Amino acid sequence: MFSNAIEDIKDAYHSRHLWLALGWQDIRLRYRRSKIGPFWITISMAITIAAMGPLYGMLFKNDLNTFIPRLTLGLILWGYMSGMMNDFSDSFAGSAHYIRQMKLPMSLFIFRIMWRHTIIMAHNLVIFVIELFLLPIQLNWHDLLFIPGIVLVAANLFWIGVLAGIFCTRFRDMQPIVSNLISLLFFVTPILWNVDQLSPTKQHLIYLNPFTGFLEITRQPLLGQFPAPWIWGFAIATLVVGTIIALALFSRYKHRIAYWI
Amino acid sequence: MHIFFKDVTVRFPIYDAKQRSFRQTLLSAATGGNINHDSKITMVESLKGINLDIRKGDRVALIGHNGSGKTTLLRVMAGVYKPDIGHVDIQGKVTSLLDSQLGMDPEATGFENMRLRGLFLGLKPNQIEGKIDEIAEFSELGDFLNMPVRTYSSGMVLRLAFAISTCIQPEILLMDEWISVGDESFKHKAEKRLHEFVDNAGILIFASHDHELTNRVCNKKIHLEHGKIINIE
Repeated sequence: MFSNAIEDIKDAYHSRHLWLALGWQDIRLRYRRSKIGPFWITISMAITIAAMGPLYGMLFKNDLNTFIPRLTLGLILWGYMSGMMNDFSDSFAGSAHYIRQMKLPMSLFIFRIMWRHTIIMAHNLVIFVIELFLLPIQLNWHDLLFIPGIVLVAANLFWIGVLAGIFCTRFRDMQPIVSNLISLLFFVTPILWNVDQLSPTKQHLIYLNPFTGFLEITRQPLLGQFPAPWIWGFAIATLVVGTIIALALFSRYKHRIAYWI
Repeated sequence: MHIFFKDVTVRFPIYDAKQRSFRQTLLSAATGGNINHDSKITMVESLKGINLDIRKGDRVALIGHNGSGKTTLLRVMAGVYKPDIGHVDIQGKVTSLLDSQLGMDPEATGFENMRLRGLFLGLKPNQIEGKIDEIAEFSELGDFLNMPVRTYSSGMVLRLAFAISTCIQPEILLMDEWISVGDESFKHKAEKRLHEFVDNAGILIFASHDHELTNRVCNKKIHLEHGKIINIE
């Protein structure tokens, strides 16, 4: 049932040098002729945070020392997830010239996008590191949980990428639907606001949006908190269910992708 | 080493805007298909009932008009399209030079492009490093290799692409056109290299319109028309 998909992912692992290089190239291409190169990513994110942080902090009457790092991580991690999802819809159609020329594993193009956004996130996290020196942020052992957190989120994004890639290649009107959905998700995910601003009886509703969970298991550790065990459980459950669906569809339609592009 | 095709048929679905639309597909499912006047997807048959038996040492030319299925056949051999009918069995590592400039990035330097294109050819980074001097020497591009490829003339780009593409010895080599590059002196050198390259390949398959060339190089000619093989000489 999954053999085609598993074989494809294995092949992509063997050609990892290729997607690692392609992912880097995507970044370098964009910033090739500038002196500071990809650090433009960092600068534009820093400007966004400098503008939004104090404004929204005051609007919501929050303590800026806690609001700004929270917003910083929220925007960076949301950028990681949403940027990837936006690009997933073009993962196969946008690489048509490669796919038509030689036999390449299809998941390679998903990994290329994931790696590209991992690089972008790493550049953005520099801002948080600077904030560690400027703001009273406490570091503790919980910060290490960021690593399993981000791995779990990335694994979830992989199955989302496979599904989005297949659907958006077959159905060309999916791409605008996906980008509208992502804009909507920005507002219902606690990036600008906090879950505990809601009454305790309503809070769990926010977690119906899985991206709330994905955000919390990566953001809370870096803020020195321990994400509740049920959030981990929820992220693992979406991973299992999503991966089963994605691999089944990927096995079935992998060979059709070349015909659709 | 062999390429074996049995009754291979390749059909391309031609979707119109409606079938490309998820909303339309969803609606037609929700309404039980009553208003779905034409659920049949138009199919274009690019290859029909292809039978092939190509063995080690074969030099095969694919001949036919534009749209006769040459490129599709090469792509099936490359593993791009898995045919929906028939059986394909290919033993041997396939190198497809369908587009010799694949993976070339105009903003990257000549050396960076060598590394990237090498990865596309299936080399590991350390294997590529071992070949860089040889590629640089063959391309005769000298210090230009440290410059972005966008500053090259079109002839220089072709030289680089050719030098990189022919740096590994393929088992099964697929080419869409006989590669011809550069000015007189380089052309001569490239021809010689290509002949060596082709001579050492286990199987060569290329599409061409040039009768003289195919007579000179090939021992088999496959004539395609409308996706069917009309004769094999």
